[in-house]
Amino acid sequence: MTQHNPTNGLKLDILTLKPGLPSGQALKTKVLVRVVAPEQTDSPINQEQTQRAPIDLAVVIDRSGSMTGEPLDAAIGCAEKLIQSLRSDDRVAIVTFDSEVNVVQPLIALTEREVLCAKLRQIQAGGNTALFAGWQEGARQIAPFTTANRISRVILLTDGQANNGLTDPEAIAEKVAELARAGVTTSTVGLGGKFNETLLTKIADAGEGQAHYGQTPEDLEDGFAEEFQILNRARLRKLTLRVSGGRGVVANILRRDGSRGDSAKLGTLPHGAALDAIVQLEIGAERHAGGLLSATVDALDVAGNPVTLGPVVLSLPELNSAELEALPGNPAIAAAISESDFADEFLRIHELAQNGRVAEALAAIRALRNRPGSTEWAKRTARYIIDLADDDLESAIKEISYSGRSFRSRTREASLNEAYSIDYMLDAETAKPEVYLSKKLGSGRSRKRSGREEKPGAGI
Amino acid sequence: MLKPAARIRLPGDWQGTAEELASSASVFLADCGFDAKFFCTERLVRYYLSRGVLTQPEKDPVDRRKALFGNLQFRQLVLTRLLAERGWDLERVQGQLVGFKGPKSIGELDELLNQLAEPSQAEQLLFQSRRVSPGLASQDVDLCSDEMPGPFGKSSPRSMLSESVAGQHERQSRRSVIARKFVLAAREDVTLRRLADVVEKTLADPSLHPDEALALRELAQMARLAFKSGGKKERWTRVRLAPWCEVNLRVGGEIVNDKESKEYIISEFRRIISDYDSVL
Repeated sequence: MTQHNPTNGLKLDILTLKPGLPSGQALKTKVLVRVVAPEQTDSPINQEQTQRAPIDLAVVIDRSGSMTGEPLDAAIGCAEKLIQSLRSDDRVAIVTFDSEVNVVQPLIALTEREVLCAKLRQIQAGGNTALFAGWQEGARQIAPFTTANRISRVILLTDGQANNGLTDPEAIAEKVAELARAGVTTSTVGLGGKFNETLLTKIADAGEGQAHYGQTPEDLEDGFAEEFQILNRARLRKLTLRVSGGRGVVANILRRDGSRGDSAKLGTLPHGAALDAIVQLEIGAERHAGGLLSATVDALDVAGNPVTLGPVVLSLPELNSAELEALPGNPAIAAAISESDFADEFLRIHELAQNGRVAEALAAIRALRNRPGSTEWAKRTARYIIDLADDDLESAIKEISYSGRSFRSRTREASLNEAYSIDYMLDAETAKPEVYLSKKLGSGRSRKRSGREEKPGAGI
Repeated sequence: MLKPAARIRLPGDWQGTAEELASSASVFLADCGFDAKFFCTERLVRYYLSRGVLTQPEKDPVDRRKALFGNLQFRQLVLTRLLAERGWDLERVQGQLVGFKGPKSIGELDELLNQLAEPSQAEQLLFQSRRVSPGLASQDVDLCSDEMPGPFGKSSPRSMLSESVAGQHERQSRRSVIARKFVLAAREDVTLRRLADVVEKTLADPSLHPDEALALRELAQMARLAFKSGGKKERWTRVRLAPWCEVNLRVGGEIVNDKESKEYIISEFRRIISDYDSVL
């Protein structure tokens, strides 16, 4: 069930709760498909990395009227932090939009960071929100330079709803996905409390990037740190998992956006970490236990060369119920599956809230607090959201959406046991340098910010 | 295959007139496999110079009236020609040709030329000719509105795109709509003895946009060529209205040079250009 690649240490596994199947019975079950990259040994994290491909970044800032004040300051602050965090061989373009689109800076090498920051500080708020046109112009700035050995990414910072030009989320996502396939990926940043999280998460999913939200530049620090650490330490990029069920078996990957299918994009895999996908199997009584599931991963290495892992085939012995009962379940796999179930629940609850059934949504979150089999992280997140809802219902609803996503798609530690069996505390003092490995409590709040987020623990 | 910048054969100290610059750029582009529509003329050099895309030339130390262009302008011209033909507006091209401290160096432009000689798949998806203008956001434009010219004479943009994207090529492009409107106007409604006279007089209008002026100049030139060949009652001629727009016009012997016809064709052309801008 495991394929080792001796040349690079990459590993693709299919992991099951128990090492057997009930004999002759049809059943539905979930398995974990896991891609692991070995630890990087030659250079420590936080140092200038030479391994990752240089980035062409288009920073697209919403300067519509509603951004006046704190949200625009936050967007500019974020953009400045981004520019300061890039490497000298990276390039950046700056685009603003309200009802019009303005190219503040065409794509340029980062030789004069302060000049760019000064240009950012001159941005002022204006009219409507032509979100799609803004994104499109950002993409146009970097699209001509797309090659396999550069990372091309648009980062869209907005507080609002698309209300000018193309506004249909599905149509926007389709265009964003099309461009992601051509090499220009998109991450989104929701600012303030009024942005359309459904649209922004959809864009980030379609754009093969990440979705962040927050109210201050500090809130977004962790998100960007995570995004750039992952890029800096990338071992593989643009991972796509493909699965196929054996005879009498239907296999579906549970994707980040709640949909299912036989392929899913897993994103970027850093050194010393793992990416997981939960695959649901519908196993008929007439199956061939020798080949239940086949999994293959296609990706690019940092130089842009294609890499294929697998296929890896899952085979399980058929056991009678007594034998199966006697086998211990793997708690790490159980935890992974439980978090995936949590992600499903959060998606459902978010939809309830979006449809105005807020009381029902909150009741459902309360019910999750003490759900048996849940990980400590999941339970505490549910508690955090309930507390947040008392103060700021709108933020709580957004938190449901973003937390649900992180249950399903967070980058994991390479060691399965460490990742799932230990619910370790991570606060501002004890956090690991690899932000992407921390289990953050509250996607839209900085761990450093005082107030509510300090109450239940800054992170677990 | 050699990278485009490695194909540049000009000596390091090369200098030449606008005509020589245009000729050198055309030879280089032909050598790289680009077809004739990418080629440059002296007039185009002067136009790009007036738009600030090309760095000002030096004055000839012997004949102070003569302007001398060099390797820097050669690269600027080649890049501008390549990108303009792909639908980039000149403002956007200029954005690529300058750095924080003024025009990019020859080395930087060579790097740019290597990167931009062939359009990426992502660029093709986003290819449009629209400008960043007040009307921009009110009407978002479909991706991939037109097929891009293939560099190096063998690239087939269609084959580089996914099936769904290739399908979008079938959509009616706005450019062809404009071209069709103009052809209809010229074919059906206008009779002019000398098309060239009309457009040349229009050029005297100070409110004319430089893009319109360039298109009209080309129109005038083509019309003049058509009449020079003389004798035929009717003939077709290809007219480039702008770097992004070509039409085939039937030039007839019955063209009447009256004021009404002139005003009609001028107003039609302006209306079409204006409609085009408002659509974008």
